[in-house]
Amino acid sequence: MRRKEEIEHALTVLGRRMALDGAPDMEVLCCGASALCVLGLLTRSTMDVDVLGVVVRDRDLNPCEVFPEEMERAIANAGLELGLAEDWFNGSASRLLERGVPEGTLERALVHRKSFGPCLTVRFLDRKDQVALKLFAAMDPVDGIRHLKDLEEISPDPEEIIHSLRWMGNWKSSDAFRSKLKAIITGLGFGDLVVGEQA
Amino acid sequence: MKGAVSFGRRGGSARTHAKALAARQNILIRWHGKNEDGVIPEQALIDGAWYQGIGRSAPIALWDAAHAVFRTMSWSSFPDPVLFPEGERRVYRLKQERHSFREGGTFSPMRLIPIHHHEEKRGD
Repeated sequence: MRRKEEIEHALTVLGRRMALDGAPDMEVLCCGASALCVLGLLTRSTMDVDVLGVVVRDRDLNPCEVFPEEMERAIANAGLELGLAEDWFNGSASRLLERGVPEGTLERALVHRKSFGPCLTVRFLDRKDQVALKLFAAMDPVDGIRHLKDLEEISPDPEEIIHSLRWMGNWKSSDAFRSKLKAIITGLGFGDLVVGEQA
Repeated sequence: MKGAVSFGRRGGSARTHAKALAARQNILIRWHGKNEDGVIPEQALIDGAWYQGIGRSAPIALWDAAHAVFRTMSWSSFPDPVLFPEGERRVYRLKQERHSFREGGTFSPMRLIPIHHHEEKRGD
């Protein structure tokens, strides 16, 4: 899937399948390339929809590495219909919730909330929070470069970088972590911000 | 032929599936050509064959002609800020990428990897 319309079509197919397979109503928060495409921030194609978590009682975000059985069946059936992998709609990104998300993430995503049939509602992560998560993903010592490329395309502004640094600044971290983060921020052209936020 | 695929654990006149695959690839490349960067166009790809190339998720991929996508194996990594650069957690996943000639595509196949599973299993 490469365009907003294609991603929304896939989610519509999933919403219909969920209704047919008797899956429970679900509201999820999506991140990653599909959310970036829906927001018009990325041009590359993606064939995955990454779910960060399930929205509960409109204010909490629960991890969802495994979905309910009916939901998994609906995902697989929709994938078959669309020629996508069985796990095209997956919750592997919800491991990020171990560290929490930036404050106000769910509220900001309300602006990008959309229903796909009677069972499925999706909030797409706001640009500001996408930058924070991408920056963290770019810290991957083995394969961070691909996330850096996405970050370059998103072209974050200083306010978004400060938002990301404040989120990560609250964590206990090693010298190597802080040093690499500083190098990435400097590489993106925001070296002056590191001094103020990461001191 | 310049740029031809050469392969074969068994030389001489022995017929192998891998050699047949490589020969078929050479014919398709001769027919459809490569672009100036050496990327093999989609029309010259063989369904079910492995390709080495430049991709977002991996440098090798399996071409699935039925769905017009490359299938790759990759992982998402979640660094541990305290133990960094050690202690990362990995989630392994099958990924898909479109041919880079397509709009938004991310995998550029550069050469066939002439292997054949069934032959390897039989050991002939």
